[in-house]
Amino acid sequence: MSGIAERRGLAGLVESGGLLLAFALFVIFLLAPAVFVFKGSVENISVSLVASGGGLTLDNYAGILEDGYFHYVFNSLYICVAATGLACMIGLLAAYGLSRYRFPGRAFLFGAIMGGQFFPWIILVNPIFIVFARAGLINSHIGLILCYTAFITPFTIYLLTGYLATIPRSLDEAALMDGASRLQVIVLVIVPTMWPGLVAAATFGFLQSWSEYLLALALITDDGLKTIPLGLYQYFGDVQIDWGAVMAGSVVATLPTLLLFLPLQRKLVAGLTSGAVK
Amino acid sequence: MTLTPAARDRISAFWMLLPTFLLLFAFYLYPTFYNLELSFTDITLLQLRQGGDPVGFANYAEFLRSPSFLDIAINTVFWLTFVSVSLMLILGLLMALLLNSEFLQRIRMTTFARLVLLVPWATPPVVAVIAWRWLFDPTHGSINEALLWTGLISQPIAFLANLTTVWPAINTIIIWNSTPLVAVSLLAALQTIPEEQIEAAEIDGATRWQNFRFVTLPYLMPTLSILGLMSVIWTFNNFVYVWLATGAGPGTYTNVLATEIYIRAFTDLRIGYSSAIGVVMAVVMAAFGALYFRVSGLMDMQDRVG
Amino acid sequence: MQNLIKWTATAAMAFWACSAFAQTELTFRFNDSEREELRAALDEFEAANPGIAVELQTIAWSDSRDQFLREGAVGQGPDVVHIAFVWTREMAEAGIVLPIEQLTEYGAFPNGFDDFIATDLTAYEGKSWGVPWSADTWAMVYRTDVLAAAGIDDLPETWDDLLADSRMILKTTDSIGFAFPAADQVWFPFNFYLWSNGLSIVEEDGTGGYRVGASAEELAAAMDYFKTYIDEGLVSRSVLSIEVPHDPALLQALLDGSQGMALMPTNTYRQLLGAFEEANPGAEVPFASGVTMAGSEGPRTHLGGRTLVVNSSTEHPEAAWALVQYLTEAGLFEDYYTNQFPAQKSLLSKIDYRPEESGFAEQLANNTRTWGAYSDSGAGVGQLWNLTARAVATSLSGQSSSIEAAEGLVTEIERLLAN
Repeated sequence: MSGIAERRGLAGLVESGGLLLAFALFVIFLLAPAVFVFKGSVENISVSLVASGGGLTLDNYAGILEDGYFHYVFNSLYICVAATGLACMIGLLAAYGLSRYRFPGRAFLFGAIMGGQFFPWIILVNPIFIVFARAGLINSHIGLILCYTAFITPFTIYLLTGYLATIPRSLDEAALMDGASRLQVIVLVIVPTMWPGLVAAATFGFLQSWSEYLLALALITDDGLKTIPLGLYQYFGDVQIDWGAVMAGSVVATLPTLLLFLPLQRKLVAGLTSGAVK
Repeated sequence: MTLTPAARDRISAFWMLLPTFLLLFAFYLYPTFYNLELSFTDITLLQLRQGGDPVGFANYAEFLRSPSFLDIAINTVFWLTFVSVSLMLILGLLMALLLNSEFLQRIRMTTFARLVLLVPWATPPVVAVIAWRWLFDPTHGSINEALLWTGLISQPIAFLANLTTVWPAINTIIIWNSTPLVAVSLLAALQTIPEEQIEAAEIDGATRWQNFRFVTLPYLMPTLSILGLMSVIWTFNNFVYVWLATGAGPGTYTNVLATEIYIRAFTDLRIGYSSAIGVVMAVVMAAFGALYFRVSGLMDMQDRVG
Repeated sequence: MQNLIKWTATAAMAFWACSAFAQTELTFRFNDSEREELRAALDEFEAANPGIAVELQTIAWSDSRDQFLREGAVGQGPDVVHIAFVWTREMAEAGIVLPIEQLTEYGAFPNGFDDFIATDLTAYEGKSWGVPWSADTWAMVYRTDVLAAAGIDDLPETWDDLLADSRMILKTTDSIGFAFPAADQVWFPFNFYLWSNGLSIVEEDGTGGYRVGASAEELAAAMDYFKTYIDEGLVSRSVLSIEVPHDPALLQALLDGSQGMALMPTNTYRQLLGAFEEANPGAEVPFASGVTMAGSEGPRTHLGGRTLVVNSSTEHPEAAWALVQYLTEAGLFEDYYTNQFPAQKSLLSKIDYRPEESGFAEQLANNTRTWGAYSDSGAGVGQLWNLTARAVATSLSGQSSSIEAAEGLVTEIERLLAN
């Protein structure tokens, strides 16, 4: 590989310095609020966000553990993983259909998928609630999974069509010539080539449903079925806020995501060394 | 009977798109039409059981003629959407390039940087706002502390209370929470660029700027256009950040269309009226989407690169 | 089809379960923070009423009104719900709660329904629709050491005293005197100011209708009073982005003594005291409470609180009513729900207050009024609140002049009242 590594001397030094500075700013900007939250979660904070007395404590975590908060984490994990998986499957099929076939009305369908997003969905909470109540899907995880799948599928499709566009069609055609079916092409050729794109789409889908609040609020009221955002909002009382619990709850809300995507993110790097398209 | 290849293609495409459209129908189309119907009535949340009375276009007339309409429209289009989205795209692109750079590989920070990028994204908006509100606080906030220390200001600034600083403060929160999505999506696109292309251009003597402009950027364009469009739609329709950061205040200073809906629907309980605002917003976004579609040539672009 | 089978099977099983074990499952939605205490109380209730099981449910207070209205409209939701005084009438109007007159057929209260306070807020079309459960109000909270350091010996009694003392505290100690949330919940101080000056946002017009209870000039003067604090730098401008008295920045200032005076509800004050004691074990508590400020008339705050309502789609009204009756018994407030004041005259008089809380006791007993005309007018307290708080903040932030903001507010409220 050529490039920056070969630039030596003063120019290279200035460039490295500049990049280092950019990287430092990047890390500070993105992490400062999170560090603040983490710090709060291991300090003695109650009615204010300033710690009373020095020292670190795990009381905040013990508190939310007692409240059954980890049950919400489990619910959230399973709902969001299911919704993301479903959305990626449905979305990949649709994106493949849109990008590999030429048929009349294609642009219109593409636009129609986008059309759903035009409506500010806060206003759709009441209609969706009513539909779900009629279908008996209130206080049901299936209802929420379907909802989140619908919620994230459109963007998953756009992202995937964007990535599919950069994969040469000759790749599919070669496999088809060898007698593979379309489905085999998708599973054996497209998916491995598109890993970075799928990871990006899955990350999006997972995180979008992970922090969703209003729909979950309307559809889930049973304590045992609640998701993390609902659990977190419980600490915001009418006349008081339990800041220790909020901070610990926030950290617990963030960590599983990082752990889940740590191995997946490596796939995002894969392209750099192997080259996505051979 | 044998089918022509074109017909076979159409049938395959139909089956591939069917699940998506079933979902869209149940979760978008039906509620949307239901909502359209509500917007022509005076229904409130108290009458959800009985239903409201038809009022024709009264809700639309009331909203479009209300004295605050212009302020709300400017806030939404310029401050909330334009400023946030343009900064998000620029910063997102810079972050993606940084994350993809050899420099990060050399200092072995690639994985760490990707994880850092996930942190704001994984933070629920409510938590993001709490953290930023405290960072902005004039007495305890680190931002004021840092600014005072560098001597840039002599008096702490109440960022969320001053009319001149409240919008930039809200923009900062939105950008913090939403840019990682842009950056990760662009990073994934960067990964799919064949390296030979860049190397070939370098051998041909292309400068780095030329290389970026003529090799990298065309590959990013489909993703970048989609991200631009979707970010506009999401930001335009989002009430969470403004609502949690300022409650549309001080007073009504940062009121946007989405918070107006929230106030009308959730405080005033006027479902009919807020539905009408929702329809207006959807129409604006649809018009924008159609225009954007044409100008950006999204479909052509995808065909060409493929 | 499959759904139908599933549904039928579920219904059949439910029926079988009911008849076989006579097990009644109730859901009680309780949205304050004393979940543990309430759970213990519900366990006691279950033990005393074999055959009834109660599930405790909690959602964020700020979303609970809308959620119950949604659920009620489709015949769903918990059996017994914990709501604010001023929502009761809305729930009745929506037809989603049962009238007390019907429920008392299952059993009456030991001291009768008249023993409850604020029953006027539960009335709608000649019936009562909820049982007042707990009572609350706001009062003044002082940091006594800050006042002493500024040489203030007597607590302020009028709004003018409060302003003068704030100036004195800032001048002599460099601390903030009186600070208040100037966004959303400025609604409370602003109303307290109006009421103690014989004004209000909405009042009866004497002919069975309602009107704005203050002129635009009077409203502007009230706005100017609070604006003085910001313009003179007596409080940080950041109060304009502070919505609630339990905002962490406000409570922190009281905790570390950089602020001397505040207005807040009882439980916020108790949290504050608890936090101070935890951070300074053994230290003397430098806090006192007192009645709110007087104007041309005596001090006046709102009589707030919570109501218990029974969902009109409940399948077990009798069991639900048994639960409501249990929840209003004296024992519950003595043993479990100790942080709250019962909304019954016979119980209110028996409460022991800590010395630091005497101001709240005095305020609650002698200086409160209900939202009355605000709620009766049908304009909706929520809408009045939103309009007023925004108008006040518009004036305080300098976005528009006080008189413009006040005139706009009068116009909007008149429009609401006309509907």
